[in-house]
Amino acid sequence: MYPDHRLHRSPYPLPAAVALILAFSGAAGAAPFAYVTNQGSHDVTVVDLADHRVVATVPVGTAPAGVAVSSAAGKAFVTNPESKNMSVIGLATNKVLDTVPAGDGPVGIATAPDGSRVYVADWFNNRLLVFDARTHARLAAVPVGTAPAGVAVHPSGREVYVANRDDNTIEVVDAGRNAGVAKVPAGNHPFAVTVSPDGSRLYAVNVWSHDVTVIDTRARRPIATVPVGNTPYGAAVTATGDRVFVTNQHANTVSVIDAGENRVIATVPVGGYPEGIAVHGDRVYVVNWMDDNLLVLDAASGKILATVGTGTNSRGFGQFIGSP
Amino acid sequence: MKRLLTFAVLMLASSVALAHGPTRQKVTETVTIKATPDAVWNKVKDFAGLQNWHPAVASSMVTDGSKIGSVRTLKLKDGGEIVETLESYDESAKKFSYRAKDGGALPVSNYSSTLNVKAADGGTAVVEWRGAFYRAYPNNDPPPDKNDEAAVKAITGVYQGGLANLKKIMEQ
Repeated sequence: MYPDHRLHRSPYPLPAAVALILAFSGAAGAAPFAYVTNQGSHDVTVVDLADHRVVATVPVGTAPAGVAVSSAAGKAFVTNPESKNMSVIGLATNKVLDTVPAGDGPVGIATAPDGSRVYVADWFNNRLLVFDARTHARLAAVPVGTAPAGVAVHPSGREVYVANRDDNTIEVVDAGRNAGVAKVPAGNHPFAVTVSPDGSRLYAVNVWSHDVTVIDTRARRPIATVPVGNTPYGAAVTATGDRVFVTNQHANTVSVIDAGENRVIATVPVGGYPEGIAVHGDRVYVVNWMDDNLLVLDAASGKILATVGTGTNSRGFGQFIGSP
Repeated sequence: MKRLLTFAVLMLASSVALAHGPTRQKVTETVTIKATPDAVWNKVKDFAGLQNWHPAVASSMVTDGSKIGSVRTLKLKDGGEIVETLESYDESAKKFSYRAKDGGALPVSNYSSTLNVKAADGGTAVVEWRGAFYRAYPNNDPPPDKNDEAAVKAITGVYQGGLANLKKIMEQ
């Protein structure tokens, strides 16, 4: 249990919180699955989160890293940086539907909430590639900053955020015009970016300054910097937006941030080299690159509920949970 | 006992080319030793004592013993050097971790390693040595002596050589 009792005081009365979680949980009634990219075994482990069973292992391109599961599109999109392409997996069949060339080093990937677009960070070319999620046609290549890494889409679909890792900024891209409109300063070496479900906050995880920059998306400026653990990698936000969970690769922990106060209220031990992280309902899912597994944690207490073996060198970089 | 230690002269890895570019590699090696975990831990716990059980290491110099932040310089019998910084130390878990940004004599960069002694059946011990690293060459199309395979082979050799010798010493 977390030592700080304030963790147990929710800003919402319980029934309302449950309703909100259900509302944000994706397609009504459909059980969710985790799509974990395994950079060493060049495949994706598909885990049924109802019973933590591995239901499929899908071979994809070379050294897969990024993943974005879109219930709206009915597809999981995976980046393969070493084969320079994107694999499209059908959620209903867990088969690869298409393999699409995607620049020279596709890394971060995210989809529009309505399932219409896929956004891919093209690392070596300093661009954000825009694809039609239905036809997989490439629609645009938006110049961004240096070494674009993580990508996140505002819940309205109107803006896309890209971490310019080597510029220490976050690019704000207007999704309607497919053009960069602002650069927001972040910390040192931002890699992952995650938006709160209500769209008001963007969290940039800074690998070298060991902290998270909290950005007000409307004002397009940073409003807080939250120190976390050693060499953080990814962040995930609860449905209500009240908690942000951050993986710390070199500390083998997850930092739990109170989003209202912008401070860490607990640090939870997880596996070796935790990287990808996602929240679904009242659970947090952590991909451990060194241990080759997916840990299921209770979001309120941090207690480990289950361990699921994945492929080799698992990363799960992005929104890796969705329902067919 | 294999000694696959390659001591190529290392080019300093550019810190810009982390992530993609090269992908991170890992190696885990274990050995079961017919000795108690306490006895095995006592043999390996000194951050300055690698030369007491690793056949490739001639000597170590440390700046601060086994305290966090201590920097050890390993001199290898074949002439190379490796500099490593102690990052964590857990006496009760019989585990410590260290990091080397530059692999020195090893064809790796951004290298971190954990040595852990655990209890096994019948009062024996399992020693696990695992590391994460990038190859020495930070850009694409690396030469064969600085590519991912060379990095994995070198670290595997270090761990296998050390653990095999440790087992031999402890079981004499």
